[in-house]
Amino acid sequence: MRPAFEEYSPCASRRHGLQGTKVTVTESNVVAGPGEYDKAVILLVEDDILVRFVTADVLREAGFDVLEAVNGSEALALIRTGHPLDLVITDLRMPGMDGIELTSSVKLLRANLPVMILSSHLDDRPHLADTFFAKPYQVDELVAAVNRLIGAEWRQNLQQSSTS
Amino acid sequence: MAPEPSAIQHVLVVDGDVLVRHVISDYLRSCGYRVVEGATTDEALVIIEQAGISLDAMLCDAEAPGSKTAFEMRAIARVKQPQAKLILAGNVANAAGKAAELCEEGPQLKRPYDPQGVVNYIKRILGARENGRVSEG
Repeated sequence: MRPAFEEYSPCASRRHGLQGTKVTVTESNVVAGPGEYDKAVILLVEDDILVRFVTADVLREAGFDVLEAVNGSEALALIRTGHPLDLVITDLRMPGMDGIELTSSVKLLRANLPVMILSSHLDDRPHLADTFFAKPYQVDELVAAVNRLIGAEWRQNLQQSSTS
Repeated sequence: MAPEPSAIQHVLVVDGDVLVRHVISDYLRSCGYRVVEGATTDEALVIIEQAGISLDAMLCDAEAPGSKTAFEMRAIARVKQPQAKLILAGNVANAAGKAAELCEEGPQLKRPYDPQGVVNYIKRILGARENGRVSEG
């Protein structure tokens, strides 16, 4: 198996209890999968820092690991590091790349990665998002929606690994 | 006798590069801090002035983007959040070292792991991005 990169990974080392050691991250374990980590990983994309901070805090309190990006470019940069991800949650209206454009780019990179768009506005453009979620939202409703979405890529990876 | 770990503490991390900001923030979270991430000095000022959070420390890239310089932001933070420890970092190694020092005096009173590993990791992913393997799109 060819290593994607061999490096000390803060995230992976913490999750695997490998503090102070080097870990090898391979192509097979940089993708999300069931049971790979003790927490599902969410990439949150939101340009309003107060909304981003509060939403990230809510999701962390609910037991998720959260990566934060301020716009689509930052989100794609994080995805392209190969960081394990189980879900992308993005705001719809953002400067530059909006949530629908970001979703298209995410699906090109990771077709099975679920995307949830948060929006206080209706948008009838075609999109590839797995779900829209209305803002403002109740915290428990958001967490429940996230729990419904996470698992799609897990199952896909399970099927792929069982057939290969 | 080892001192008792203290309650949750808040750190504001400000860096215009998401790859650096994410790794430094992740490091600080792994030693027990509640971390607020800001991409610009303008975002940092929203947290400093409007979020209602009492910050224990602020770790800011000295060249963070925004309408205020990092030094101007620090001057405002001194007034608005006088209890906060204000740290300007000049480069990645400096930021990782300062984060490690914060960990030693933070909730868990210890470094989660060697900060040089964090520096190496950041340099690797930044290098990959510059080589086109990790693009900002």
